[in-house]
Amino acid sequence: MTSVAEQRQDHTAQQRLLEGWLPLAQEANLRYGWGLDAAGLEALILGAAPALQRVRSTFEAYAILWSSYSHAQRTRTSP
Amino acid sequence: MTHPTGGTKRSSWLTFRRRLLLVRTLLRSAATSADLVAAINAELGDQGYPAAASAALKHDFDALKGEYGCLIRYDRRTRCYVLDDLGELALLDLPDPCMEALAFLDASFPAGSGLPEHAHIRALLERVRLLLPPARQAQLRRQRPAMRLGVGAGARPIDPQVLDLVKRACEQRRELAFDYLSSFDLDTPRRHRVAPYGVTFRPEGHGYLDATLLEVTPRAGEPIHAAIDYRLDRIVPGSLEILPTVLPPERIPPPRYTLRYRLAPQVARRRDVASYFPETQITYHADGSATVTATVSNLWQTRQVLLRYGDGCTVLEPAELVALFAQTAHGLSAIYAPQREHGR
Repeated sequence: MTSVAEQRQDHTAQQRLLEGWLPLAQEANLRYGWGLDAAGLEALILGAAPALQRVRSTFEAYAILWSSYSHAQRTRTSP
Repeated sequence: MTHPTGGTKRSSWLTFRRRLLLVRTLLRSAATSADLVAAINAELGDQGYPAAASAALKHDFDALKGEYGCLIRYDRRTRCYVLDDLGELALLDLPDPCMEALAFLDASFPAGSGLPEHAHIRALLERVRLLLPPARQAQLRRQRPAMRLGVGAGARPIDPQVLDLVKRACEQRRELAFDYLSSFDLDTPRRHRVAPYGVTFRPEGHGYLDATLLEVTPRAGEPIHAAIDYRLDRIVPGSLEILPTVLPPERIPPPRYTLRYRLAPQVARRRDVASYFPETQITYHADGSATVTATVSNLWQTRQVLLRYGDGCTVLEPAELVALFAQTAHGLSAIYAPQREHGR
């Protein structure tokens, strides 16, 4: 069970993560024509966060986002 | 093979190699006897020192001192061996132009000043000097270089822990938070959260953290996502915190401004105006003046650069920079106008 303070800390960390990565995710969204809205972009970033933190280049970050997006699409369409 | 006296027989080549390794290890840094034995054994494996190595180590030190004139001393405080002089093992020599370059660096980055210490330039120069034969070392001491780089030495010292954490945050690409006392804060520092990108030392001797502002508490008009140069000596020691958030590889794009300024004929008539900013384009006019356009992201820094022209420069855009100049002009007027009137 997490305390209120811990939950707030998690929320702040999440907000900061989104703040940093949203411009790049939005760029990928436009580049690949995914048509994701703000909530979709946030979900994409949060899903890919562990891998994104290890990337060394923008190209690598795009590849991670693309893979994460494809995985989410497959999961959604599978019965 | 076992020697009749009970010790392990090593060829003279192996002995020589071991002693060179000792010197090499000590050149890297002062070391304890355990460190030295470990370094030698890591390189030579079972041909290194035996289990009880102190006698063999002492024998090697004596040989290095006696045969090659090396000066190795034991520092009781740190319990480390220190190499003070290589003696005959000072094998590096340099052509005269390189000696001149060494003297240039020596004069340009004197001991005790900020930048040379922080960038470890003094440590490098001392190591290179140590590798030179005595005659060349003496030549270096005598040399009075005609050229030197004008790096300011009067800057306030930077807290080593501040510099260490800033460098670490840049390397790990992580957000950084700290208390900062800017020129506009009277006596209470404000908390800044930034995306750090690197450290720059400017000719006047100050070190700056190049960062993108993410949050400042309380706010005082700084635009969020602006590129800001934070003076490292104004970051409050002990207040730095490397945050867990990892930043994207590419910098968060700062607001970009189209810069346009006009330079008066007394500055531009020789048609050799410097390009200080990215995407600079210069148009020279028939009356000797010039109009310069460029793209900038740091208005504060832009103002500092353009102030060197004094009243020979008129900023035309962006409006934010014009406002900054108006503020500066107002301040300067408040300082000097009364004196002028008084002198009449």
